[in-house]
Amino acid sequence: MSGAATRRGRGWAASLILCGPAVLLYGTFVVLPAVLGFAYSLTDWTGWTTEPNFVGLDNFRELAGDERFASAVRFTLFETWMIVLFFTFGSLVLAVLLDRLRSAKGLIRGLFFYPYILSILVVALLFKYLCNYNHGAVNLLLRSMGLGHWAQDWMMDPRLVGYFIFAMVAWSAVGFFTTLYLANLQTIPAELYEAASLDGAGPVSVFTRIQLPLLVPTVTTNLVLATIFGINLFGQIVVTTEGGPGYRTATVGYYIYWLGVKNNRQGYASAVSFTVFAALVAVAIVQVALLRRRQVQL
Amino acid sequence: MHTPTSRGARVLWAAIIAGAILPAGCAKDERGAKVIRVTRNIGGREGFRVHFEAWQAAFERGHPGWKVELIDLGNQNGDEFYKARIATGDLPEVVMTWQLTPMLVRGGHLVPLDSGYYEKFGIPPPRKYKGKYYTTQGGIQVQGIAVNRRMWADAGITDPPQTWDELVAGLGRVKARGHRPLVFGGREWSAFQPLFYAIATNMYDREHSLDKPSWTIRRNRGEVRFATDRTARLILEKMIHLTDTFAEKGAASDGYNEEQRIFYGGKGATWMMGCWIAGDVEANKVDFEIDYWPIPSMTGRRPVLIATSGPQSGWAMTTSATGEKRAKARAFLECFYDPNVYQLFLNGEGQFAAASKVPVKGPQSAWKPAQALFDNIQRTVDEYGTTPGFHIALDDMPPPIFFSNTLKAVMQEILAGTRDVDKLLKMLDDDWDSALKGM
Amino acid sequence: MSRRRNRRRFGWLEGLMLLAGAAFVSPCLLALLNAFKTNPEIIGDPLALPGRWSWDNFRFIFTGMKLARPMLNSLLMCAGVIACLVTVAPMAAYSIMRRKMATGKLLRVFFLVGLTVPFQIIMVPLLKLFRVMNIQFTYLALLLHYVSWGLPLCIFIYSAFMATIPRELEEAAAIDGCGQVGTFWRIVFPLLTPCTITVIIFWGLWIWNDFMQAFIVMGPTRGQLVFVQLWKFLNDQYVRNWNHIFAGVVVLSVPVTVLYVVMQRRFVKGLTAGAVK
Repeated sequence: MSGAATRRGRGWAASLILCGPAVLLYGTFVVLPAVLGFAYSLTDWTGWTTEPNFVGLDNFRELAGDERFASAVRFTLFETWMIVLFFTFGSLVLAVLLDRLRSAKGLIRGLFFYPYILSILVVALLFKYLCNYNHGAVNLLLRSMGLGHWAQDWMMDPRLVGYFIFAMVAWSAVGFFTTLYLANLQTIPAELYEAASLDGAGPVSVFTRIQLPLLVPTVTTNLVLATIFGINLFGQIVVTTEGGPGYRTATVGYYIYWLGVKNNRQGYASAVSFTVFAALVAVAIVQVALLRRRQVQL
Repeated sequence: MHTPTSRGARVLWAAIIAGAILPAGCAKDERGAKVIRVTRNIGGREGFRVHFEAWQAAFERGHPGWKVELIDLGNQNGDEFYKARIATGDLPEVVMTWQLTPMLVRGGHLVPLDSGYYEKFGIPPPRKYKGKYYTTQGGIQVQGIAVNRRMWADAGITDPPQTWDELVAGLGRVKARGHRPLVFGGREWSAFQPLFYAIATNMYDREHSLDKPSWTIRRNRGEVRFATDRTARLILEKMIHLTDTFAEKGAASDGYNEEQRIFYGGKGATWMMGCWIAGDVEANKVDFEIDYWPIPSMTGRRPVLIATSGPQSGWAMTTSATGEKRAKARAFLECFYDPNVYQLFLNGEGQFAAASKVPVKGPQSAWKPAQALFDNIQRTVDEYGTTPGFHIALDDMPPPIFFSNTLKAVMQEILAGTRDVDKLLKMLDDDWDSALKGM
Repeated sequence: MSRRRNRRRFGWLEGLMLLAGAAFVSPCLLALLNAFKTNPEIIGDPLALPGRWSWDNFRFIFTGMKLARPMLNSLLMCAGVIACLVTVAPMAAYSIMRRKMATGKLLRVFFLVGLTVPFQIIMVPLLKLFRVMNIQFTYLALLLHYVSWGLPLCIFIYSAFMATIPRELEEAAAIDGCGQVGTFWRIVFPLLTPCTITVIIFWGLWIWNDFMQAFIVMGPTRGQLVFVQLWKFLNDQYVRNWNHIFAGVVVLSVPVTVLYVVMQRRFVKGLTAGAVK
């Protein structure tokens, strides 16, 4: 009896040591400021004064009718959808191909990873250079090949700008997601491959029967990460289109930044931010509840 | 059974953890007792750097034992930096304010300047904000239309068009001669220029008078709106026509740098841009003649240049300057008008002297085309005069967001093909209303 | 049996991927090319070869922009933050994964929601907090911020990876009398090496490249971090010295490239070691 008690006692102490520092750091420097920051959503704070006025739920009422917020949500979902698809499945295919390489592995993998090394400022500069209608490399190349009629304003044409952002994000971040898949792929024991080759299985069947099932944990991880990545899109917008043309490429994150930093409505920005946060938490809770029900059923 | 971490790995970890403690050990910046901290957006611009160093030297010469510390903001994201410093109660002693003066004053962060400051240097006092003055005044900055003289002469035009329709007709003739008529990029801030010009010269009185409230004041009171204003509607229709006829395909993705490249490279005939470009002429080795024309009106008034200096947007003392530092900060602000320093400021910013008691000439350049342009601008100012447009005073200005964001967004929408004038007018109204809540 | 013996063969897949990879990074070659040109040349024709390959721009990086000291500061900051993250995060992830369902899930959600909060919201309260703790505008403040901000994602990645590690080893250690903490450090942590290396690469990159948060938390004072310095030159709206910017970009990419190359080798070694169980 006493043995179990001391084991439990040691269990608590161990929990504290293992989890404590993380919870302490995160709680103090992220959660606490976040709660305080969200508290501003009940005020009309501009960011410049030190004593804001309490306005109750006015900000949320305004948010309900805010057309620019609705438009930002639509655009964010549009981008997130493409991003999730690409980083969950596109990166998967790329990782599998990279894994099958038998020489020059490091070099080729490095080539695909390299854009991730660059800061977004640099990526933005490069893409702005490439996509400029008159002087950009893409159009110059097309014209030199006699395909000048295909030249477009890749960046600011309203029909193309959403894809421009996606292309920039995809190019710069594919290295991240592919690396996560590669890490998982490398843990697949060699015996499985050998057994498959003995059975005479082709590459596709190796993929579907062996790799894919064992990659499910990373697929889930990447799905979640890509979703969060898409929802948080903001820096990339600031350094390229600044929400333009007009306000069409303002994501939710950019709209919050615009409201708080440029429009001096930090209170309202906090309200928008809190709403998005609450929505995401609600989605997460629903997901967890659904999963749990399915597990219970199993 | 288990693989213990090798000794090499352990050493590596120790080194890394030592590296973690080291940065933490670096003491925070001690705020020196005899230091005046000053912000400036130098960001690699030689002209600005040279000016600031001279200013610093002038002060340190006259006040031995005191130092000026530059806080280089790189670009004008002073917003976030200032807000961060306000949050920690650590605003620098002297700050460059741009359009943030009202916010800083309302937050109680700026120390007013007495009118004696301006009288001493012969500067026309700026319009008061809530009854007080706060900042240094730079030079006179005007905005008009820069033209490539040769291209317009080729179309048979040597004098400035007197109405907007004449301007448009002239652009058409320039285009017919095979030149690119209009240099216009929609990607960045410079997209708003044509619309800003039109609003400032058509919807506002040429001279502000105290008994007649400006359009801004009336809008803030709700007496007028863009949606119902006939002039606003006319302006937007003319903007749509302008871009449809003269903006090149792909203009939307050009930014200020591309515009510079096109105009200074002699590839575009007309550029609606401020007088500071005269300061770039030498740096870009421009060798053709540039004329600086006034902006023609759409409502039958005389062409005019817009003066955008005047509302207080220079350097100000903050409430961080306490005790002796306050006197020193004030002295630093006076050194701004040391003739050598002021001359460098005008040269770097391409502005014209506003301080009549300071012996400086207008902006100077040894590069002939640059000097010719400076003189040309001065002649246009003398002949056509200036209007503040909507830059009337700090408490009589559209919300800052309107100027820097909304006008640009409207022009981008026009470039993107929006022809619904009502929708564009609504954008102007909605943004104005939203921004008012942040004031 | 012999099919898998062809270890070093450079086949059609390798060739194809090499071409694809080269095309993929071609925009970066643009930056490299332009780092050797003068500014008017770049503005004139970004795609042309330089008239004269000059190292002037690189020299300016160290003399004009004075990036040497900031580079050192950035390196130290990276090292510090990474060291903290790879000690604190895996421990927490381990504790979360090995718990009962309810509290484990709760903790996971607790950490996950942090990923959705934008920096502007916490900016002012965080700065005030640092003021209260009297560490405002110090490297320590920035380090604490970076570590705390990175914890959710880090824990998430570690948890996901940990799901693939079998429990038998830990159970064996428990029988041997090892406490939970000891079990973690001696057995589980070495197995997490591929994950740790991933974290090192990613966080090294992220902190090295970060400018916005460093600028706000620390301000543009002396001894700054590298990208904050470069950012001042990059974001100028009136004049851009493209030649200096590209040279700066190239120079600043070197340390991270080196880190990546070094880590890559250990990555592969660590993974193959782990696969042999």
